[in-house]
Amino acid sequence: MVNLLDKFREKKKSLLFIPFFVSGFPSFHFLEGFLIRNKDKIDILELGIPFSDPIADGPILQEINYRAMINGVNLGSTINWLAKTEISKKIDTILLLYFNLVQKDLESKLEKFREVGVKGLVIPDLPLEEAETLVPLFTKFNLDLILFISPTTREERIKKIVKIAPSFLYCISVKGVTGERETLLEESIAFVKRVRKETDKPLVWGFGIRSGEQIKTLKGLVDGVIVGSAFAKKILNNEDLQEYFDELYEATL
Amino acid sequence: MKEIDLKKFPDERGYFGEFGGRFVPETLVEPLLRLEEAYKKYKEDESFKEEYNYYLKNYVGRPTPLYFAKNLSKKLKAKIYFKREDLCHTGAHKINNAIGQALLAKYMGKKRLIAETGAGQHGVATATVAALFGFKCTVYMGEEDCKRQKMNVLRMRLLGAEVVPVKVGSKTLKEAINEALRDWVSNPEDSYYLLGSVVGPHPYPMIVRDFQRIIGDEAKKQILEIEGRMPDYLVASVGGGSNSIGLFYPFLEEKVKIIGVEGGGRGLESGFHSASINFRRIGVLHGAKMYLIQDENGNVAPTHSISAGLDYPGVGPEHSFLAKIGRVKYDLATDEVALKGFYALSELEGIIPALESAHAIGYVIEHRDSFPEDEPLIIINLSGRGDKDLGIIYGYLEGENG
Ligand SMILES: Cc1ncc(COP(=O)(O)O)c(C=O)c1O
Repeated sequence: MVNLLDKFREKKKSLLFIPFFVSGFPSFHFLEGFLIRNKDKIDILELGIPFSDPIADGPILQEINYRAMINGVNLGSTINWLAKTEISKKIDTILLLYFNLVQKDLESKLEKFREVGVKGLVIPDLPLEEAETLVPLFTKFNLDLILFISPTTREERIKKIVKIAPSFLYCISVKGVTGERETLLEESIAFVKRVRKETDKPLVWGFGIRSGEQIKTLKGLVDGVIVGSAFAKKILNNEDLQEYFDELYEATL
Repeated sequence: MKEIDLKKFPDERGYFGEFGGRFVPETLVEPLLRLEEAYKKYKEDESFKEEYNYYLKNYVGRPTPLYFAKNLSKKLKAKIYFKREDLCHTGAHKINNAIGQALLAKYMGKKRLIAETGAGQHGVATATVAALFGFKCTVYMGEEDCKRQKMNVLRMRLLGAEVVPVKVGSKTLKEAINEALRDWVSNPEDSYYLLGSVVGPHPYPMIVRDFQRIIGDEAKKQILEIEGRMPDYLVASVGGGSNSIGLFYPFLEEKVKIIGVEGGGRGLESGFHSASINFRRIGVLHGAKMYLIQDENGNVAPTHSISAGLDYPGVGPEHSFLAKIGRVKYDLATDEVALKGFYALSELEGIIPALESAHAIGYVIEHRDSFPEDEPLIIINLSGRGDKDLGIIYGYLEGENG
C-alpha cells in the first residue's frame, strides 16, 4: 500500500492533482462513472461528506451540501458506495468531513474507513489543538489526518503544526470560505513561501483555484492543488465537466 | 466523592470537563487567541472595568431590581422574586454582554462588529452599542426570525446596523451563526465577532458568562438584603444559556437548587422542540462540544420553539457540564406552558414578559407541586420584556378565534 507522503515524494509531475467532489452529487451513479473514467488523471480524490452546517464553505458548496443531504447522502451511504465500487481501490481517496459526523464512535468509524480503502481525512473544524490528541489514533488505523495552515496562523503555531503533521499540509490560501477567486493574491503566494521555509513536508494549495493559468503559477511553489468549487459550479449549472477537468489536469503536468 | 471546584472552568484548552473546546477552521484560531489574550489583559485593567461599570450603571440602568411578585406568590404559596432584566435598556439581559464585548472590541482597536441574532434582542443590543461606540455593524438573522421579529429588524436598521437575512437551511439562529462565522473568517483582522450567548468556541462561553454574571452577583446581594438568606431555588430559561448562567454562576457553590428550563416546543416526543440537554445527544457545532440536537447521521436537526430566542439546537458547554455532573437540573417547558406563564405574569403582576422568560415562569407554575417546601423562596430570571413577542401572541389569538 502506497502512503500519501510517498506519493508526493515519488511524484513525476510538478503538482499532484487533487479534485474535490461532494459525495453523491449530482448522483452516486454520475460520480462513479466520472471518477473511474478519469482515474489515471486523479492523483488523490478528496470526497466531501454532506453536512447540515458547513461553516468553512462558500455559497456553491453550501448549496451542494444541502442538496446532497436532502437527497439522503450521508457518511453511511458514502461508505457503502465506496465498499461496492472500485473508486477507493483504484484512486487514492481521502474524505473531507466536519467533526460532528465522526465524533461519536470515532474508532469504529475509522476502522470502517480503512476497510473500504480510505487513506486519510480532512476535517475543516479540527485545528491543531483538537487534532493533536487524535493523531495516534489515526495512525493506528493507518489513516492520514491532514492538518491545515492558514494565512492567519502565527509563526510559532506554523512550526508546531508542520512538526506534528502526519501527512501533507493543507494550505488555506485565503482568509475566507471556499469558492473561486479571480486571481491568486500576492499575499497568498507570500504565505506559502513562508510555510515552505519551515518544512520539507508536501504543501497543498486549497481554496480559490479555477484556471489552468492559476495552477501553472503555483509550480515550484507547492506540491499539489485542490480544485473544488470550480468543478462543483459546472455540475450545479449542468455544464460539461470533462473538457474543463482535462484543462486543469493538464496544467498540473 | 471529591468536591469539584466549579469555578476553575474552563481549563487552559477551553474545556468544561469534556465539553467546550475550539472546533473552528484554522483561520479563526488566530483571532480567537488574540481575543483570549486581549480579554485576559483588559479584564484586570482598571480603566476597562471602570468604563464597563459606568455604562452598566448609567446607560443600561443597573442594578436591576429584585422584585417580590406578591400576587403570583400568593397564588402559588411560594415566595417568588423576579430579577428584572426586562428593565435593562433595550429590554433584555443581552445588553450586559454587548456592552462588555463592545468595549473589548474598542480596546482591541476593531472597527466593525459582526453579530448573529435569533429573537433580535442580541442584534438590537449589538446595534445599540455599535451606535454608542461608533462601530460599523452587520447583524445576521434567519429569514424566518426576521418575519417573526419584524420590529426588532426595524430597530436594528434605525440604529444604523446592516441586517442580513439568512436564507439557507432552517433560516433561524443556527444559520445566522454559520453566516456570522463565515463573515469573520473572511474579515478576521478588522472585525470583531460579538457572540450573544455562552456558546461558540473558547473563549466566548467564558467571556459571555463573565459579562452576564452581574445578574447573579446583584441577585445574591439583593436577596440577602431583603430575605437575609439564600434562595431555595433559581429558575431561568435556557436557549444558548447566557441569562441562566449569568444568574446561576455566583450561586454554584451555595446550597441552592438550580433549574434551567429548555424550550419544550410541542413536547420531546413530537420532535418539535429545542431541548438540547433533555435530548441527551452530544455533538460538535459552532466550535464547541455540547449537547446537540441531531439525527443518527450527525446532521444537526431542525428545532422548534414558540420563542425565537430558545430556538437553537445546542446549549453552552458549561451548561452541558453542569448537567452531566448533576449540579443543575435541566427540564423543559412546552410552548403551551410558556404561554401560561406569559399570561399569568401579565395578568397578575402587570409585567408582560419575553416568551423566553415565560418558559421559566410557566415551569414554576406548572411544577409548583414538585417543590417540597411549604413556602419555597424562588428567584426567577425575567430575562426580557415581551414587547417583541406581541406579533406572535397576536397570531396565536387569531388562530384560536378562527
Ligand atoms: C429575553 C431573552 N431571554 C432569553 C434568551 C435566550 O438566550 P440565553 O439562553 O442565551 O439567555 C433570549 C435570546 O434571544 C432573550 O432575548
